[in-house]
Amino acid sequence: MLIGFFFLALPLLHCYPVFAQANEGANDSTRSSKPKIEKEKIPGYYRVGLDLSKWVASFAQSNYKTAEMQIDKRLRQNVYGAVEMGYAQSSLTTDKLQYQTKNVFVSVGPDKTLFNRLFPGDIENAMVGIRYGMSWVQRADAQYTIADSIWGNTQGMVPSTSFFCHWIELNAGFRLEVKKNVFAGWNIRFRGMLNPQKLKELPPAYIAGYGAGEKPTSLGYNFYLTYGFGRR
Amino acid sequence: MSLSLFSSCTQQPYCLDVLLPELRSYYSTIDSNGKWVDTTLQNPSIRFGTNGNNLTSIKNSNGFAIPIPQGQNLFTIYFRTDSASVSEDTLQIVCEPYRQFISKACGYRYYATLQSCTFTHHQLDSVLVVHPSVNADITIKHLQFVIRK
Repeated sequence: MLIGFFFLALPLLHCYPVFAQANEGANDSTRSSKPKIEKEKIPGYYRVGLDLSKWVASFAQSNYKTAEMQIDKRLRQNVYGAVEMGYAQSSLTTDKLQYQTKNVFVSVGPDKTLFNRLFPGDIENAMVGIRYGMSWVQRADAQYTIADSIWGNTQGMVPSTSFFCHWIELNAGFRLEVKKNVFAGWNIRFRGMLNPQKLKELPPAYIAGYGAGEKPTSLGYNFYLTYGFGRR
Repeated sequence: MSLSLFSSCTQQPYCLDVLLPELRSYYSTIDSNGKWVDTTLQNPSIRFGTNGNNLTSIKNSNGFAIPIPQGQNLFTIYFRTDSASVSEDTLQIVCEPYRQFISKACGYRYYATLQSCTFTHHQLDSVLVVHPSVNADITIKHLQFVIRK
């Protein structure tokens, strides 16, 4: 259903300039009665913030701790460039397996706003975006136990390893300016791992920026609190 | 509700695949023309396990299946064509075990490649390795027991 939403949403983005032009034409005849939207000169507004949902999740979950942050910058009137990064450490402890993993991630990509600005300096908007995410994962030695009441239990160790994984994600969300230059916003994300074979054996319990490590696709969310600065 | 939302994605895994890989065999005899023919035994018994303490005896069966030891390259099983019989054959099976990751919930299993089988000849004429790979495939029979008449 979510994929369907994105496939419906993306063509709308291409339609958006047509609607904008139509509105501009309508404005010509009533120019005197509506405020003129100022044309931007330099789109140099930055926002930096933390994902509060990951902070809460780290407290709620016993098997992983994670932190994520985001920086974005307005590149064009309706396009933002975003960089997200973060860190996670997770562990899996069962009667059959025990191991720990750490990872860092970076994801980059554009966000496109869905609505016109209502006034100069208006930055609140709904947006959809796409990201390319990369993560460097380190797994410590893994201990395993195979329970066998007939021949006897077997225990062993799988040596530590490091690997790289990467994914593509689509996101959609909304951002609201709750106070001057302070923004709160949520988004949902659908991610597809590009090299899932790396995660076939002893996958991380949690990969920052991606989610549960054993799944080739994942659904996630963020709740960012960001601070903005620069020319609006 | 929010806590359950955060925890819903990371529940403790639950293993549904609890069976260890099994070695399967079938019985045959040699007919008057010298050909192998599948047969059924009325009351065979097989002992296996760490000290041979585990017994399986399936009446009117044409073969048996037992779990293989995990990570061992040599194991012993004991076979009688009839559980009431005094004589018992001892089989030593040499294999090459290899580790296979199943899932986060189930962990690892050891599968094995059978290499050879030596045995005593009280009731057995021969034992043949007909399919050496012991893995998750439950349709394959690995050993053929040729019973003396």
